[in-house]
Amino acid sequence: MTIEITTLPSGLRIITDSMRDLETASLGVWIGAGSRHESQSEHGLSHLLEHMAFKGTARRSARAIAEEIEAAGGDLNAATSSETTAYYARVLATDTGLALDILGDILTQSTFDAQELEREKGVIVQEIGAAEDTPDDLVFDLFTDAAFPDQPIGRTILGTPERVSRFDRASIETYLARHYAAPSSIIAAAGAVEHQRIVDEASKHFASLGATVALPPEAARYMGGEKRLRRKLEQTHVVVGFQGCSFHNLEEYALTVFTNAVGGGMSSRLFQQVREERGLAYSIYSFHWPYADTGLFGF
Amino acid sequence: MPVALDCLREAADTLSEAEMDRAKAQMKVAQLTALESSSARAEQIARQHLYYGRVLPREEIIGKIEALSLDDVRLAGRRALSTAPTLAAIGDVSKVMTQARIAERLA
Repeated sequence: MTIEITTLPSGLRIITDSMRDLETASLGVWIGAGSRHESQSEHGLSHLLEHMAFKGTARRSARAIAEEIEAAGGDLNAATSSETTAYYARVLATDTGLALDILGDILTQSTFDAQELEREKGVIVQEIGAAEDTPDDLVFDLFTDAAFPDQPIGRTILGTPERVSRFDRASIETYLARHYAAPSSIIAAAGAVEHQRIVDEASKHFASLGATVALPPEAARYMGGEKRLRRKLEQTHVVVGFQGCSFHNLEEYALTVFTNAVGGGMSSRLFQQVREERGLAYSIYSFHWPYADTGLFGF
Repeated sequence: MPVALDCLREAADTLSEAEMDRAKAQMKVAQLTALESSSARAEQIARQHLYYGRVLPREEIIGKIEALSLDDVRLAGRRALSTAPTLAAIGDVSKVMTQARIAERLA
């Protein structure tokens, strides 16, 4: 295991971990911005942008993006969370250049074509519908909303159909320019990777990533509260939670150990007492989610 | 819900060494497993650098987990449980405890 780090003049950090005996590499770009960086009128925009990044660039159509990476046996994916947005690929060791070319292209040269955008907004409205129909996901959306009422960190990542349908190319480009900033982004590569090669390729393909420093999100204020949704379901889905620890809180590890001990596995107290001894629930577990400035703990 | 709440409240006072050690062992395996998968590793180094401005050496993480005493772990649980509860429920919510009742049960 050999960690090497290079910071480019733009502030973009490139971190590699060369792992022995591997033939493939995993690499990606982690942007330090997600749904909690959105203003109220931008709710859902981080996630829409993540989808639209795959819909064509000046050099590649949406289909070409998928075909090029898959022709090399690789795959490309992305995920949006509250605090980060990640775009990543897994490829053969010889194709890290191709992966960085495509990643750089989709993050700095996307065209956000109007027709593609309309179609993708429809896809996301469907995705929102799917989440609405999945009570075990929806209950966590209600939970974060109740814990952090009227705050970006408490809002859903997907947004609402009303908001999503109103976004246009200008809204995406404004968000991108403001939040996809080199100083708060990281290119990480692990596996069969050679640091200098990754640095050279990344410098070439990410040259136009903005160098302005992105603004931090609104500070989270944990409030506590309750949200109930009456639905005709066979089961009742319940989340009870409390304020947890941030990544920077020294107690983070202690609370994570507590979380795992009380509800982390089949030998935990929660599982044993609620399910095994009393048969009260099928699924029960505890969780601890640290954020940059707060945390959530619950079951 | 009362069973689960009692379970948490009691754990904050009576969690045993064995339970804590089991949780620590699970966390260590999770940490070390991430080091053996290139995709998990890329994600881990990226997130650590975003949050901490550095990559945390494995010895440091494992050391921090191992150094925790039973008091540290119980105290962290007690502190979290003393904050205002948040409740979310979907389905037949008529019998679900209120936030106030949850707080009472934990007091």
